[in-house]
Amino acid sequence: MDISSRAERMNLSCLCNLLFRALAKIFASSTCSLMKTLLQLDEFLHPSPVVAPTAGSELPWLPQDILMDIFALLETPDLVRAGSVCASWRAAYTSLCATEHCKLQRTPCLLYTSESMGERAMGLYSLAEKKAYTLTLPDPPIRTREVIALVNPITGDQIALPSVTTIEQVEPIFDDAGTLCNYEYLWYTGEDWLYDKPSILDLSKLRDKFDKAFLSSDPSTGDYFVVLILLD
Amino acid sequence: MAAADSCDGISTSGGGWEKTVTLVSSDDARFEVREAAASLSQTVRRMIRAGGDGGIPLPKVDARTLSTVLEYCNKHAAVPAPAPESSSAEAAAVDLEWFDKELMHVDLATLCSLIRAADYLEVAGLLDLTCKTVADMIKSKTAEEIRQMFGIQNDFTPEEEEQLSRENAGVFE
Repeated sequence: MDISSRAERMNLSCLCNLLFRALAKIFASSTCSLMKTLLQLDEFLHPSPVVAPTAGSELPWLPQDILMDIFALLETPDLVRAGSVCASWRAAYTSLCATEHCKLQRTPCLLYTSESMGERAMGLYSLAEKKAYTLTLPDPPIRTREVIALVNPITGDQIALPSVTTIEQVEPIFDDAGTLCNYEYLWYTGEDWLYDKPSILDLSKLRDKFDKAFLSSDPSTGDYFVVLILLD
Repeated sequence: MAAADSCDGISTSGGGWEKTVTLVSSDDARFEVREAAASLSQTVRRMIRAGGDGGIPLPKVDARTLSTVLEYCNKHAAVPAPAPESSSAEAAAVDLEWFDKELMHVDLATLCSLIRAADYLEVAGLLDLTCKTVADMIKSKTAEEIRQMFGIQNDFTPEEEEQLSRENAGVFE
């Protein structure tokens, strides 16, 4: 009970604190990047843009960098809709989401859950539109999951966080059946030992040791670092 | 007789002497413009500095679009910078805003030509204005409504469509 409620709190706090700030960055999943690359390759091989007019026609068309300038002015729901218009607009949307995370000027959206929505749904309220949307979330259900991940509520993309045992001071403890049951926490600061004896902690108690975590990039890329703020 | 550089004209305007430059559109129309106005375009400004004979060629902009761009530049370059927060500054700002709004009363194809011209000519104010206008047109429209407005075909592959539906994109329709 304690573990799951704590896990839920951690999840929601992760969502609130990190998700929307990181939203734009996470938008660019590796699949999207691949798609983008393929589209760019396609544009290279077939130079006429997808939305370009044929000779003599009056169809309005815009190059990718200008589409990105325009999309940067849109609120989140408008941006997602613009990204579903055609492959060329999709590519501009994906590039924008991958690069613009430093200059987000969008009106924030409120993310919330409620029992009536069920376990796999989450509400997104757009302050700009004064409109509520119901998003489907990826498994496992957010209320009951114990593993913390960064989730992009719109794309459903998830970034798994590195295991807690990758921290130097944390060692896993297995029971006789080989199941992970507790963690050994070494009171080692990098220079000194605060206490000689390690503490044995369950997952929720162990999580209480950490106040905030910062991740430099998606851990699945293999090239990342984590900064942790520990509580005494 | 040809001037030694692009700044090939001197004309009177508002009682004073002003330097002018000649811009040449893709369809060979020639526009004589005050240098102060033309310099709102960073592209033109660089070409003025570089010098050259017989006017500045702008092969990516047709006459119709260029005349609208120059209308914008003339208006915006004409506004002197009065003391901020004075009543005349406020009036000038209101006048410019009204002018900009009127200038954007064009069809979508013209608007897109203006955006591409503002981008190529690097007229930052006009690029912002036109992008904002298109963004306002897209606002609150469904993907299908946007396709119809721009005459865009839905060219997603079935795999991409599936990916979109998995990504909650449909929720926002």
